[in-house]
Order: sequence, then structure tokens, then C-alpha cells
Amino acid sequence: MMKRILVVDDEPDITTSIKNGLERKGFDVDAYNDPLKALESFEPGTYDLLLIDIRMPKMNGFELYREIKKKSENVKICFFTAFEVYYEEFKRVFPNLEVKCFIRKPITINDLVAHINTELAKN
Amino acid sequence: MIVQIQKTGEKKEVFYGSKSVPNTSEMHKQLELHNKIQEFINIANHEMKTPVQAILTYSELLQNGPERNRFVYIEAILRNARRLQKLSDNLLDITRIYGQTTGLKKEKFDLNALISYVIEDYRNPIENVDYGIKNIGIEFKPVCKIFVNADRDRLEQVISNLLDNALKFTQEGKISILVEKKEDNKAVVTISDTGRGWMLEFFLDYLQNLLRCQTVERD
Repeated sequence: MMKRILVVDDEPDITTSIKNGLERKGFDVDAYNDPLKALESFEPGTYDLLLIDIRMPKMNGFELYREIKKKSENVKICFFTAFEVYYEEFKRVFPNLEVKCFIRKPITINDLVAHINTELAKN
Repeated sequence: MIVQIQKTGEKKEVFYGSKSVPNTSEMHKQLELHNKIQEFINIANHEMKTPVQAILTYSELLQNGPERNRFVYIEAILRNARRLQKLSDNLLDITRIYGQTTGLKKEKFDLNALISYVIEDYRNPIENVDYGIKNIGIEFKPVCKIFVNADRDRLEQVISNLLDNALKFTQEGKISILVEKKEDNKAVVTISDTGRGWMLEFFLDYLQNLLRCQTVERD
């Protein structure tokens, strides 16, 4: 069965290219450039994994994840960012958010798929 | 102290502040400036990685995929390469400003003609794909010619940057440009938009940081 991925990034070139790249690798992908629209459309149980940018206008990736968690407690997430994110720093700022998957841009589709599969394989 | 690499590859030590032994207050200012520069580098790094990611993924799609979207992908690669070039030029400008090697090449030209020239690119929806297709009008109604003695390229860059910013943060409505001739032989350009604008606290914080940096440089 195809795994469903939600991609949220404010850059249209990123969502378009990543969506096309992941679809070629056999994923079913929905993509949004507006985090508020992504949140509004989010239905619990729809996605196997969220791939979310951190720095976005209107709502940053951490806030989006926190709001999505209110709708779906066990949803899996990888933050997809060009920023250097230090896990210890993240834990200090968001002690209640359990995230260990930070994927740094730029990345090839094959490496991205490897990260996604690793995350999907976790219980 | 910031170590700057010059074009020749030679290292140059640049002191921001007094050449005498700095006191605690000066050291604090230098440290703050250093942190601001570090923060700027982080943001610039982030801004550059985004087009690199787009170029990388579109190239992979072209390399491995069917031909039907070939033109769209090549256009996207070119667009992001141009974006990288612009970022690189801006970084170079900032290096020049800090190294105080920027000079103004003043000449006499019509300010309204320059603005009309700059906004032409932004009125073209094909050139405007960075921001998606938005229903935003650019209002500019020059009444007469206004000749100024200024650096044409730099002024074009400033207006272009302000328009870029206005377009990025305006979801709907319009961007208005007004040029006024003042009595003291000056011209004032006002660019306003119907976007969200800056939060007052953020704006004050930004201004404060800017003033602090300028004070340290003057010392």
C-alpha cells in the first residue's frame, strides 16, 4: 500500500519538486505552501508522515506540528529545513514535542527517501 | 574582531571599534555586532540552501524522468539559479559595505523613469513566479519628470528590494508607489502595501540593532 506524505513548505519550487520526486519513488503526496491551509485540511489518520519546513510565514513548522498534534497525537514527523537545528536546543525550547527527525536541505531524493523510510519503519 | 577574506585570498583583520584596548562596554558592543553578523550569515545560508534544494531536485527529476515536463523543470532551474546569483550579489554588497569599499557613482537621471523601468518586471506574471500568481496591482502614476543626482544602479536595487519584500508579504490588495518632490531639493519615494506589515516591537528591535551596529562602526 502506498505511504501517504504531507509536505508543507512556503517555497512553491520546493513543494513541487519534492512532491514530484517522492511520487516517482512510489509515495502518495499532498503538498501545501500555506501552513494554515495545511492545518485546516489536515484529517487524522490520513498521512503516514509529515515533512514540514520550519521557517514559514504565518505559522512556523514547530507551531504547525504542535497544532496538528492536537488533532492527531501519534502522527510521525520529519522537519525539513535549511537551518542548523540542534536537537538539545530544540528539546529545551519545546520540551513536550517528541521529534528526532531533522532532515537538512539540500538533500537528494534518494537520501530523503532513505530518511522517510527509516522514520516510517519506527514503531 | 572579525577575520575577513579579501578577493586575493589574503586574510585581513577588521576591527569594529576603537584601535586602543577595548573597555567592557566596547567589547560588549563588538560581541553584539559579531553575534548579529553570525545571525546574518545563518539567515543568508538558509536563503541560499532553498534555491540549491530546488535546483538539485529539479535536476534529478530531469536526469531520471520522462521528458514531458522538461521545459518546466529547466525554467525552474534557471529561476532558482538567478535567485542564487542575486543572493550572491547581495552578500558581496554587504561585504563591500563592511569593508567600506562601496562608492556611489552619481549621475543625473529621471527618477520616475527608473521606477517605471523597475516595476515593469513585477507587472509581468511570468517574471513573478517566485511568489505564485497573486492578484496584486502595482499603482504608480508619475505626473512629471523628477531629475535626481544619485547612483542609478543602487537606487534600482533599493526599489527592487522594497518591491520584492512588498510582494512577498502581501497576499491581496495593492502596492502603491508615490514620488514627491520636496522643497529642499529632495525627492521622497514612498512604497506602501496592503500586507500585514511589521509588528511594532519587531520593528523597534530591528531599528535598535541597526543603530547599535552603526554606532560601533563610527567608533
